[in-house]
Parts: sequence; structure tokens; C-alpha cells
Amino acid sequence: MKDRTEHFRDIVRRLVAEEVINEEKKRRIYSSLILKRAQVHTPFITTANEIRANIRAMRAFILQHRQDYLRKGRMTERERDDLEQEVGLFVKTCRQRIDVLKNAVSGEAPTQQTLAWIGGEGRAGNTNLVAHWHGVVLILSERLHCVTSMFDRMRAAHFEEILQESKPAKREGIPTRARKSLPRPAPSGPGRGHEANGEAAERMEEQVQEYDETRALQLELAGLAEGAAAVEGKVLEMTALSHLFSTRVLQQAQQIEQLYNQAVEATTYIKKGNTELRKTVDRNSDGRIFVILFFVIMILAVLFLDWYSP
Amino acid sequence: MFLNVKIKQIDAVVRMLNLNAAVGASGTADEEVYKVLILDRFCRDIISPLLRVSDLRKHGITLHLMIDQERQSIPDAPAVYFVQPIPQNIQRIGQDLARGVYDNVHLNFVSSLPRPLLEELASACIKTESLHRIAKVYDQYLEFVALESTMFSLAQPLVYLQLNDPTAQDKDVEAAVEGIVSGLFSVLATLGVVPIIRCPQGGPAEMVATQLDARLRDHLVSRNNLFSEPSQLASSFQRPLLCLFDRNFELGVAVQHVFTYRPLVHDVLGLKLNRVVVSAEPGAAGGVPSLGRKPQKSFELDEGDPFWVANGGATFPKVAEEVEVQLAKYKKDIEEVNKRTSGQQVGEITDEDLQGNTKHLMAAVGSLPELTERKRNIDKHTNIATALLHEIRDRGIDGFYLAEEEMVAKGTAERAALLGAINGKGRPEDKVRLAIMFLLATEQTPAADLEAVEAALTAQGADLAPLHYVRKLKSLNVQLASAHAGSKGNLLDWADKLYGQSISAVTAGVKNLLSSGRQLALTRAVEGLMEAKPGSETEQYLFLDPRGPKGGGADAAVRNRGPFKEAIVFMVGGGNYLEHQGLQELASKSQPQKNILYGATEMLTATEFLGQLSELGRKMTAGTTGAVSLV
Repeated sequence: MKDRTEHFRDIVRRLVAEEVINEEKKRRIYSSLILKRAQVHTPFITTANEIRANIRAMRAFILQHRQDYLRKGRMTERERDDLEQEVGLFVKTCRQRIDVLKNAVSGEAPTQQTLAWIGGEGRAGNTNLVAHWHGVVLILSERLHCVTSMFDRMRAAHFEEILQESKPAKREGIPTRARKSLPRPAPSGPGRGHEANGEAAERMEEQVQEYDETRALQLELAGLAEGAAAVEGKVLEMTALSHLFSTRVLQQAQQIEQLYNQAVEATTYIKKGNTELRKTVDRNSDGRIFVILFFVIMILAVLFLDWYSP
Repeated sequence: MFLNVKIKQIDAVVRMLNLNAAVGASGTADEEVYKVLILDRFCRDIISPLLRVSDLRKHGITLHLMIDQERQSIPDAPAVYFVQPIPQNIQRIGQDLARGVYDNVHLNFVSSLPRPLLEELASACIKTESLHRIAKVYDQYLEFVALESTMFSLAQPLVYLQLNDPTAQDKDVEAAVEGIVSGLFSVLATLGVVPIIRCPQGGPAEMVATQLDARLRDHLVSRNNLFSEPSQLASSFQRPLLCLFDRNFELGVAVQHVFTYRPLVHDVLGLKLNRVVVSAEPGAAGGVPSLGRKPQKSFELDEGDPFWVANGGATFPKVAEEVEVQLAKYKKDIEEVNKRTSGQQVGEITDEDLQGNTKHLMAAVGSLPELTERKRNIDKHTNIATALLHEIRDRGIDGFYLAEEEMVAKGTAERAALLGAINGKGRPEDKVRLAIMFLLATEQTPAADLEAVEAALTAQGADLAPLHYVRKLKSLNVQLASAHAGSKGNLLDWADKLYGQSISAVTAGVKNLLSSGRQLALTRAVEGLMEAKPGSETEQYLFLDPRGPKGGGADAAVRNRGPFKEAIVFMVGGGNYLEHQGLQELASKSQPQKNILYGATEMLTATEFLGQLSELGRKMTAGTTGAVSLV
């Protein structure tokens, strides 16, 4: 790659110096060589640029919080929820703005106002320009999609982690509880067997009773905790699944839309085909009439000739 | 780090799309705007194997238009022009500037823009006062099409015809050589290397080599040149070898029938710019009877396709098997997924099961995209293989292939078998190819055999012009070999020219075909050059070092600096996939591993090459009759 811009400008300078043109024009040309023209954007492009800047800011925001989000203990669940909500809002607004642009571009009959806004005044029928706008909208949506899918991946990774975590915790939970509850009765037997005192025996009985109660309570609580953990795991799974399903449903919706469009297209084709068929039928009957007419005339002619020259 | 021509070119194109600004780590420049890309036909061919439309969009290109089509004004958008530096394009650009079609324009020329055209552009701008619209003017030096990471084409058609045309003026030949040199210079500039040039003596290859050498020398004199600092550092370590060959060096490869997958797709289905168009098989369409034209399907075959990469060099039956194997594997995987997700026994559903189920479901959903991708790939290759099979059966390509292989291996052919093949099925052009191979393979072709072959071909309605051309080349060659230098004066003018360019090369080609059997002459020559051992048959080759002192390239110490790790092999007058495959096999089997880039003026199918040969044959007979009538 080689920059020839300066070379080009030198040639322009030389040519201008050689040529005989008026001073005014010379001055204008020289100034255009040196000065850079300020760019004036139409509102459409300005809006598009704004949206792009927004998307980029969001991307930076997500990247900034990515580490915290993914690492354990750096962020509470609540903070995570807030982050998700924030990103969701951001995406929604961006999408809305892109939709506005899209409608302005692809509206069936753009009003005078929108035309003025997107800078296409008096340029109706300029297909290249319309295609360019469509391209801009497409680029923006692709960017947005890129960022949202990045966030989705991040969220999926997080879910995965939680699921992984909940499993080993449960497995560990059962033996520890068992260990805690089992050894207790062991010291109670032999330790107190030496005291033959009746009072002591009564107290002991009470103690044993108390102890049994606590144990029952403990077991019940442990069972409850286990159940809660199981429920929690299931809920997590359900959220993960629902997330998954929602993405699939979204894809399906897109497919359905595509199908619908194709169906619409097919109907137009069928309509066209019908008109063609009708035309063909018309032509056919025309032809038939002509043939019949021809024969009748011929018959008449033969009769006439026969009559004319006996 | 091996040279990779495709990645280098993609980098260069992406930088251009980002208005020649530095590209950030994320792959896109920071200050991107919405741009329009204006291409001409040649540059579209350059970009199409490199980037898809979605890739273009990633770099802010909303629209891409052809320069010669009717374009409407798009204010508020900068335009990136990527065109050839030819007068028509300059005029179009001038008109666009005058009309103010785009806000500002970035002009990128595919090779160096000559000064007169630059002046023309400048004066057009002054006349219409549209200077402020020109933002930048660049020479990109990208005048080649990178088809794969180790293969490029200059996309210059009919070079063989131009260089070997007996009626051509010196001017035309020079122009063709100049075009090739410019293209090669682009390749080297994009790769950022200054190679050591070797080529056989005599013929177009030498012309190209010396001119390229001169051009590189001229360029290296200037301080601020294209081969910048980092590449110099690398070059002091090891410089690549550039081997230039002429098509006449090994004529047989261009007309030979092939039976491996990639060359077959190229030769039979006409692979072009990594795309192949296949007409869908009539039986499968079922419902709709074809309305005049068959439905066409277009497939992309490049390095993103694992099957294509893995099986490009396999023979056709093996490829068909491989497709089947892949299909079976795919079916098994699908079954697995189905079983895991749906096959839950009725009865007690435990917690573990449930959890496992979820996991399976997630895994299944996750693997679905990959599976559909694989399915699509298999479908694609099944389609291609079916189309190939049709052609092979219709034309009896396998028979031709076997017959040619046998001829090359034995050096002779049974007359009856040959005539049988010619009278058998197949297209006339296939038969002509067989006859040419027969001519090239046998050292002393009996005249009676040849006449019989020609008579048979005429009966089949084949065009004999290519055969005549090759026969003339060979007979001249034999005459010259016996009479040596003395007979040179007796020959006609055009014969002299032919001799200078190609006769000696053809002898070499014939001999190589005879002696080596399987390995191509080109591959062996490249191997010899890369090893650079003294005493090998390639020692006589011309040696040019653009960085070395002028005129003093014959120093033996410098000469035998090899072995070289990297080489660029270039075929003047059209190359094909068979040679590329041979070179890649050489590169991968040698120890330590080597890297060989393969390039040609164009990628020719045998049919196209036959067209050029037939044109030459016709011109030659016209020349002879003219000369005879003069006498």
C-alpha cells in the first residue's frame, strides 16, 4: 500500500500554476487543497451515529463488569439482577431507536416529514440511497445483536456455574448432617450408666427425652433444608431451561415470520399465475371463435361460388 | 510463521475498507462510518473469495456497487473506490466527482496508478472544482486473487495464447509480460518479502524473471519502500525462493485427465473463485418438471470447509466413501441425541434422572447448530459428488484417466486400445486430450499411428487444431534436436520464435513425463531448487537476487545457500489444481516441513486450455499457408 495523496496534490498544484485561470478560482482550489471541509450530516446519519455510540458504550459497560459478574463472590445476586435489568433496558431503548430508523426508511409511503428528516427530500425513487439506509440499519442491528448475544453467553455461563455448584453442595450436605446427628447418643449410654442414683436416673431420662425431641426436630429441619435445596436447584434449572426455551422460541418466531413472508410471496405468484391463466383462456376462446368464423365464411364462400357459376 | 497469502490479502483489504486507518484489536477500526464500496469487475473477483457481504457490513460497508453500472447519488456517505488503474475507470471517477454523487471519495487503485492517469484525474477535478471531494489516493498493490492460503491467481486470462501466438507483435508479448510482472510485484509487496528468483533459461519465464528482478531493484533503491522494516528483519533470517515456470515446461498436466477430488471439481464442474455451480439432479426435484432450464445450485468451497480440506487430494471413489461415512456418523449422532432426550422409561422418575435429563436436553440443544452445520456440509458434498458422478459416467473420464496414466508410465500405447478409446464414449474434447497425451508421452510417435488417430478423431467430429499445434511443436523439436543449431536458419520466421520460447521446454516436459511416472516434473524441479544441492539438474537455472549486487548473481556460495524453507512457485500461462496438490504434498512430506505457495496467471481447466491451444493451432496453420503462398 502506498499513499499517493500528496503526489496527487502536487500534480494539482502544478497544473493550476500552469493553467491560465482566474485568481478567484485558483484561490478556491488552493484552499480546498489545504482546508478540510466540515462534514454536515443529515439527521438520519447523526441519529445512527448516536445509536452506534450508545451500543459501543454498552459493550464497554458489559466488558467492564464481566469479570465481576462471572467471578464468585465479587457481586451479590442482587447486584447481578440490577446489572441484567440495566442491560435489558439499554437494549430495549436501542432497539426502539433502531426500529424508528427502520420505519422511517422502509415505510411504504414515507411522509414528507420523515423524508425531510432522513435527508431524502426530493429524492424519491433513489434506490441506491434507500439501499444505503437499509444497510445502515442492518449494520446497527447486527452490532446490537452481537452485544446482546455476548451478554447472553455471559449469563449462560453464570447459570452453568450455579448449577454445578448446587450439585456438589447437596452431596456434601447429607453426610455432614448424618455425622452430626449420629455420634450424639453414643456417649449417653456408658457415660451415665455408673451413676445408680434414682434422681440422677430420672434426670437422665428427662435428658434423654429432651434429647430425642431435639433430635427429631433436627432431623425434620434437616429434611426441610434438603427439600429447600432441592427446590432451589429445580428452580434454577427451570430458569435456565426457560431462558433456553425463550431463545429457541425467538428463533422459531423468526422462522415463522420468514415462512409468512414466503407464503405472501407465494400468494402473489399464484395471483400472477391466475391472471396469466385467464389470459390464456381468453386467447384460446378468441382463437376458437376465429376458427369457427373462418369455417363459416369459407362455407358461405363455397356456396356463393357454387351459386354464382353453375 | 509461514507466508499466508490469503490472510495477508484480507488484512490489506480490511485496512482499505476502514479508510486505510489502523485496525484495532477487535477487527474493526474505531472511527467507522457508513461507507459505500465501488468496485470494478476485476476487484470484485479479488474480494469475493476473501470476504462475504456480512463481513463487509462488519466494516461499515452498507452497499457495494459496480463502477460501470448506473449509480444514483448518495449524499452524506463516503465512497471507497477499489478499481484498476485504467482510463475508463478514471473517466467514471471524474464523472462521479463532477456530479457529486458521494460526499467524499477514497480512491484505491489495485496496482500502481501511472502518472499520466493521475494527471488526467487532477485536470478533471480542476475543471469541475471537485477537489475537496477526494479524500485520499492510494496504490494498494493487490493485483491478484488469493484463492487459498497457499494459492493465488493473477486472473489474467489467455496469457498462454498471447505469449505463444506466432502472429503476435513484440509489443503484445511485452504487454503480457508487463502485466504478469506487475501482478507478481503486487503479490510480493503484499507478502512483504523480497525473494530469490530462479527460473529455467529461455522462454517467457526468463523474461518475467528478469523484468521482475529489475523492477524490484528499482523499487529497493528508494528509501521509503513497500518492503518495510519488519520484513527486512525476517528476510535476513530466511528469504523465500520464487520459482518461475512456463506452461510449456510441462504441457501434459494442463490437458491430462484427473481423478482426485479437488482437480476433478475444477476440471469437470468448473470451480471458479472458490465457487462451483451444480445443476441439481433431475430425479431429486420430483414435483416440478424442469421448465426449460435446470435449477442451479451454487456452493462455496474454501478452507472453511473441513471436508474439502481433508479430502481435496483423495481420489473420487474414496471421496464418495468418505461422504457415506460422514453421513453414517451424522445419523448416529442424531440418534444419540434423540435417545437421550426423549427415551425416558415410564416409571419412577428420580431426582438424579431429572437432573440428568435437563443436562442432556441442554447438551442436545447446544449441539444442534453444530449438527445442522454438518448436515449442510454433507448435503453439499453429496450434491457435488452426484454431479461429478454423472459427468464421469457420461464422459467416461475414468477410462481416459486410466489410459493416460498407462501411457505416461509406459511411454507407449497400444494402437488398438487408443483407437478403441477414441471411438468409445466421451466428448470430442476428451478424445483430443487423450490424443495430445499420447503425442506427449511417446518419444517417437509412429506416423501411421498418428494418422489413424487423426482419422478417428475427424470421424468423431473433434477439433484437430490443438493436436496440430502440439504436433508441430514436437516435430520441430525433434528436427532441431537432430540438426541442432544449423537448422535454425532454415526454419520459417514463426518457427524461430516458437523455438526460442518453448521447444526446449517441451523436450524437458516430455522427458519428465517419461521418467517420473507419478510425480510431476514441476514438483521435482521445485524440490531440486529448494534443496539447492550442487550437481542437480536444476543447477542450470537462472539465478537472480534483487537484493544482491547487480549482475553478480552467479556466486556459487550465495547460490547454494539452501535448503529453502519457503517457496513461491509461479506458472506463467495458467496453472491448475493438480499442480497445486502435488506441491502441497511435497511441502507436507518433507522434513522439516516446508511451505510452498502456488500461483499462476489464471487457473485453467483443461477445456479452457484446449481452447487456447486450438486458437494457436488455427493461427499457426494460417501462418504456414501464408508463408507457403509467399514462397
